[in-house]
Amino acid sequence: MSDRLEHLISQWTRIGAGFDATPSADCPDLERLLLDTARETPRMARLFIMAATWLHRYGDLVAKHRLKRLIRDELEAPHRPALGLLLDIAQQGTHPEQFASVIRELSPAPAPRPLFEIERSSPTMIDRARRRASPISERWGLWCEEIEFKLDALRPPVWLMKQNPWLIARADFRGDLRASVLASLQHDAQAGRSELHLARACGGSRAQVRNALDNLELTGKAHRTRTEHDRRTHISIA
Amino acid sequence: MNTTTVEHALERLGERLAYHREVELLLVGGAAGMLTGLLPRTRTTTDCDVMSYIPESAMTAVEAAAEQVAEQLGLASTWLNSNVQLRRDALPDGWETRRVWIGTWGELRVFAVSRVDLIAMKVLAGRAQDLEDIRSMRPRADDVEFVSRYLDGLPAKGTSPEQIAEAREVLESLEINGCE
Repeated sequence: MSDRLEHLISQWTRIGAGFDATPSADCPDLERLLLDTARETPRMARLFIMAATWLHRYGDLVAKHRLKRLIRDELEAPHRPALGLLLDIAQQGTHPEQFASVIRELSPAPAPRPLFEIERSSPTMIDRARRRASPISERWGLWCEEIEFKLDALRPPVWLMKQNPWLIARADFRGDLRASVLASLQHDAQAGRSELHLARACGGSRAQVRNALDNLELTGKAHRTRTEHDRRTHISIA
Repeated sequence: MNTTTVEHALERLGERLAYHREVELLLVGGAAGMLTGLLPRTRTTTDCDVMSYIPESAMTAVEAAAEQVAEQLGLASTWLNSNVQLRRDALPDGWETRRVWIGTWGELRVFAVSRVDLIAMKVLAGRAQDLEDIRSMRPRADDVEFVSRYLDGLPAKGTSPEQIAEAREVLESLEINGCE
């Protein structure tokens, strides 16, 4: 297995997907993890199933504004349908639909084919995948059969939060812009340089970000500092 | 780490299980493949599908102990489950003579289905993850012969003709590996 796939699996293991792998030592960048998962999905069906299961159960923890920004700026066009399918499957049965705003950024594959490489190995297997494809996968142009969420292999919330306390604030915010602000400050190198940089990184408008920062400062989760010789406001995680 | 999460959980299960006699479990699916070294650890998940309990009456006690282990180790409460028992017809005849001993912990003796039985069951299931697992197990000509005979016997067990036909498509598409 490639190092890249191993690393992905260890990151998912860290946040509670039940692979029998050693968890990553670093806190995963959750939104970039979703992008990488979309890229690697064709090579490992179980990765897709576990990611869908995790997102179905813990979708509130995803910073939606930042995810949209990263899709626009970092996710190559050929991998976008796989992410769309992943999020669409994950939000089945959730009300309101968790990822509707993100999915609007994504479009189906232009030429339909099996989602997984293993089912692209011969014309017979391709035809078999087409016949067995779920309606949702047909809509995205990436055929796969109905996904059964694998909840038996998902770590419970208590374990998840104990191992990853950085997710607690995200859970409180249910993925709103404040979650994106904190995620950008944690993972995007230039995000704390100014409100403008932060707005660019987290996918909100400057006014929305200022409003989110007011709240984050009030609750002691972020700091703004302004130096005399520099008109910019620097922002950091408290 | 030499001990896998699943082995650790089974060990704790054996410690916790309170039953008046020895209990045998038969694991199928990804966990069976991982514990027998047929599938890479990181490609499988920590849930365990139990196809058979001996005695059958031990199921409730085992599942209750598994729930306690789940709480202790931070696993899903149903990490050890018997959902696959609904597909008992999928278990190839003669599995008892081929099963592989995994370990004994207290009164708990754990077995997994053999390589060829696992391949057969995965050909029948035929989902993308099963196809990937089959590829990892590098099936040989004698495995294909075994699975073909297994599929021949399934109509008598009530398996649907459509599922058998699809499994034959999978079987015919397998890349056959020589003996090494």
